[in-house]
Amino acid sequence: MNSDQQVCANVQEKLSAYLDDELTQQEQQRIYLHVQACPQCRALADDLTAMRSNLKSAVLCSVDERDLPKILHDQPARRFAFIGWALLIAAILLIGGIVSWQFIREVLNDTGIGRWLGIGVIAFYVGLFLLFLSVLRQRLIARKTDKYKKVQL
Amino acid sequence: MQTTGVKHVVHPYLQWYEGGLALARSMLRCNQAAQDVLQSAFDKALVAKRLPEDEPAQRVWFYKVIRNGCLDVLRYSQRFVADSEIELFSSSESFSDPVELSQQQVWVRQALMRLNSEQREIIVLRDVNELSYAEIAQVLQLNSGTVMSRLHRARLALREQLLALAADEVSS
Repeated sequence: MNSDQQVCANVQEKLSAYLDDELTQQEQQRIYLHVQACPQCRALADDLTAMRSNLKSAVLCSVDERDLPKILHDQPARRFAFIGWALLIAAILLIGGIVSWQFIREVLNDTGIGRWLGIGVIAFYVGLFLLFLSVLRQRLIARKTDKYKKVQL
Repeated sequence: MQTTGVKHVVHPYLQWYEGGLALARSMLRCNQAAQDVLQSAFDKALVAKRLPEDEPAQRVWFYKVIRNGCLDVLRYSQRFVADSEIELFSSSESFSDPVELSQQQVWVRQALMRLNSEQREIIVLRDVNELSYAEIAQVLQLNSGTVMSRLHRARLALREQLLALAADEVSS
């Protein structure tokens, strides 16, 4: 009887690991055989198994859905933002084109200032615009290769 | 977490959000503080220069960060000293949610909150987050033999608490 209790104590010590499938195959087998044979150890194993399955649902289901940033995935808002950006860019192109066209025509036609000065003024503005484009291009490339760009928290 | 039709890229660490929150909540027994710890853990995951490459190692790293964050909070608020007293006050009330739980689950949660913090964290790591013993050993910085025995003792303690709760219920 005494040796039986000793065996049970040994087995119960490893029962958790047995249920978690963390023992060597040999030990796993040994404990499996003992649990099949010994009602006391089987009761404990069943208890622990039931407790484990309860634990996960009990502790996990308390997470509030509102914690997660649902607002970021709101589809209509994204659509509005897309349309808004498209309109804004179209308007800037349109207005910029008209203004610069008129500016060029006026400078070239105006005989008050010299022809060369007119070309100089145009070249000044075109140069500024090209510099802006080069910076913009670099920024866009940097943005594309930014590894944290798509991160959403 | 729910995916609501829209295909969007999610940070890979977000898959451990719920498990990490469960760990922090069970360590701190306070939802707000747990969310703060999670927030700063994600912050670290974004800022850190050298992160593990493969997913299991990242997971271990992430839980380690959360655990250390919790320990910092606990140390800061000096709760380590008064652990046993606070246990009695906050074991059931602060953790109750409007979510529907079965009676069994309520008991399990109450019983879990009555354990000490060492036992709580190892049970949550294993049974809620399903880390292997080797991974738990890394997170808690123990060897895996210690993990095995500590986990078993924690489970037996939890079972005892459950039985006590059930006995209280019957007698009242």
